[in-house]
Amino acid sequence: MYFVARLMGKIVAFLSPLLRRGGGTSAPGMVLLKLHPKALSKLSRSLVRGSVLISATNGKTTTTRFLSEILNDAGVACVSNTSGANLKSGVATALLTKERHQDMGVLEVDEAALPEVVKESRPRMLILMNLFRDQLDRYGELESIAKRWREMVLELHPDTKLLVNADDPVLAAIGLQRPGSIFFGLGDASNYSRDELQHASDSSNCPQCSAPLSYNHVTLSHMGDWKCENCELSRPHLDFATSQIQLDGINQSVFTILDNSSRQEISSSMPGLHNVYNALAAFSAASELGIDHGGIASSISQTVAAFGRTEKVAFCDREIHILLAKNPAGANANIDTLLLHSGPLHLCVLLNDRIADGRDVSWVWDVDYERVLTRVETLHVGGERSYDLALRFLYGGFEKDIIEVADSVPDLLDSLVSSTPKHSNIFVLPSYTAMLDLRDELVRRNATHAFWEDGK
Amino acid sequence: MTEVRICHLYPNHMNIYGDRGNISVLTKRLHWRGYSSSVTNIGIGDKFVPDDFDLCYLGGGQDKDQNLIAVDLAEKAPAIRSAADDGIAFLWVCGGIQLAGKRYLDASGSELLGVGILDLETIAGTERLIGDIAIRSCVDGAEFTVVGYENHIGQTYLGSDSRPLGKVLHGFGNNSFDQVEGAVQQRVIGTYLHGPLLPKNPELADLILTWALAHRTSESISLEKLDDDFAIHAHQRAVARAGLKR
Repeated sequence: MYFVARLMGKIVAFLSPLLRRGGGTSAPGMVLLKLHPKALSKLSRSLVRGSVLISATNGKTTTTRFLSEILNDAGVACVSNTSGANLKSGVATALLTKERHQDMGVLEVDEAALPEVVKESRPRMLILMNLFRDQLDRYGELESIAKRWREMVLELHPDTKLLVNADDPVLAAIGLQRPGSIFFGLGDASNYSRDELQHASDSSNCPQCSAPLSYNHVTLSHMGDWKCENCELSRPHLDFATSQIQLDGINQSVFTILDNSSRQEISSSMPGLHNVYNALAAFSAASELGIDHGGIASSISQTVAAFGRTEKVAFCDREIHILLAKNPAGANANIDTLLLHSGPLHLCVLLNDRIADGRDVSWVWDVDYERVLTRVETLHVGGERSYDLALRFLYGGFEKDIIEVADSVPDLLDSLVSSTPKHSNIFVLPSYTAMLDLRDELVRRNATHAFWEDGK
Repeated sequence: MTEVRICHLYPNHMNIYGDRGNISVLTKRLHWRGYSSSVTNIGIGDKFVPDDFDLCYLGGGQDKDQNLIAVDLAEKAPAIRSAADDGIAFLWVCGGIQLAGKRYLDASGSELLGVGILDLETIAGTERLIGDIAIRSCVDGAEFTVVGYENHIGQTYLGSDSRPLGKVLHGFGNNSFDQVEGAVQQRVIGTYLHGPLLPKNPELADLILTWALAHRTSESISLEKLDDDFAIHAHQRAVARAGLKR
């Protein structure tokens, strides 16, 4: 029976790239799981070297990309769901359609799907990176995901190695439940930390006793070097810590990673503090998998952004930077990154409300767009909820005259070109499907490749 | 210059759906018309003094946070009731409407007392009511459509002293049966249209501001029209998404 199910899945995989957008990143697995619900554990067992699962609200795709580059460069052939299809069906599709020589999995998994995928695939390693408020209509409250993760970790197979971002208080507490957890975090972020929590901080109360946490430094949202004055719970000891972080504008970042016995300089072309977290997570995982640090550093320096994640696309003598922004924490991290850019800001924000974006768009009011108020030279808003964004900026203090509402993606691209000088950097912050729509149009105009060809 | 004094209750705990957008709308719409405003954050342990305010806002929060503030809110309840009787304008959304009512019965049947400024009670349902919502409102002689998003498990039933904020045109509303949404009593409005509902609903925003100004000045003030171009577009698109004719 499994054989037939597998064959059916493969047939769908063969056909689906011919069909349409998506290139069959989920459909084959969906068919397979329908015919054989236990297929994921069978497929996982076919990976001789096991799998690494990566989950987070933000940074899954980029971290997965870093880690699979590192492993592939080190001669470990990895299969990865690089196109971001990260539900159970997407994971199954990646494993079903993998090439024969790929004997290890580096897979990103949706936060809500994670407990089930972990249970069935029994990974060799699990990386938990962050939890922020995101798509409350779909995921429910952050606390309910955290609760499911807590239970998942208590039931982890003893052979699974757990890596946890210690800077996220909720996750750190989950990691501390289990002996042997490996923790990573930003050791010294003094150059880039802030004194106070951002508005959209979610988990700034102690996960153990609910008292407000105090912070030595805050990095992004509720993450940082935290401590509870009431019950003494504090950020665990960092097995892997960054120091001497230097964010060089939107072009690159340089930092050092320290473990208990060594230090390694890292430079990455992916800008912003959030990408330091992503690189650090991949470094920690690769190190635990026994890859030598020099090799890891060299792979990280050569890894380029995944589609839509600080991706640069040359278009009509301008450079379009696409910075996926699908929730407040992610959008705020992107705004931090924009502020590193010294030139005038040509900003474009796109918002859709399809299922993959979250039907509820209230979250744009939790983003601190006001921080770029004085820096913005041109401002475009678009997507199905363009006028919600127009209102967001209007009430955020932006002059009505500079808020340009685009009715369609083609109109938007035309307007971006006509309103900016040649060689401008244009920064686009789209929601998930708005990013796909934008890329579709850029593909149509031959400016870039289709996303399912990403990383190939 | 007349100053409208706004109290933002528990902004650190009850802010899950971009609630601060509503505060921006209130203060900006005052500012654009030449009024000034102040916003005071009142959190756990802070004293709520009715005489200090003309308008009181409470947003939505995670269950955990809502339970946390409920204890503190019980201590403030007498002062809040006297503020409502005194004619202060209230906008309490999402979790706020439940806390404004008389009581909340959770899934286990245990009772959580509300402040009692709205004659209603809420019983935990079995299924969340989630999605776009549009309602037709008629308050103080003004008739308008209100659009937004709801996401709640509580089923709310009105008593005889409160009227609904509107009739449901699309979506769920207070519960799965009555086809009405929200509650109005004195100058208190409770609604499940969560988070930033005021940006797209300028008529509702102005109604609340009129009330707050009336409390401040003891006069009835009619507000001048503003350029609501973006709001009208956003509102109309929401109405169209709901499949309604305007």
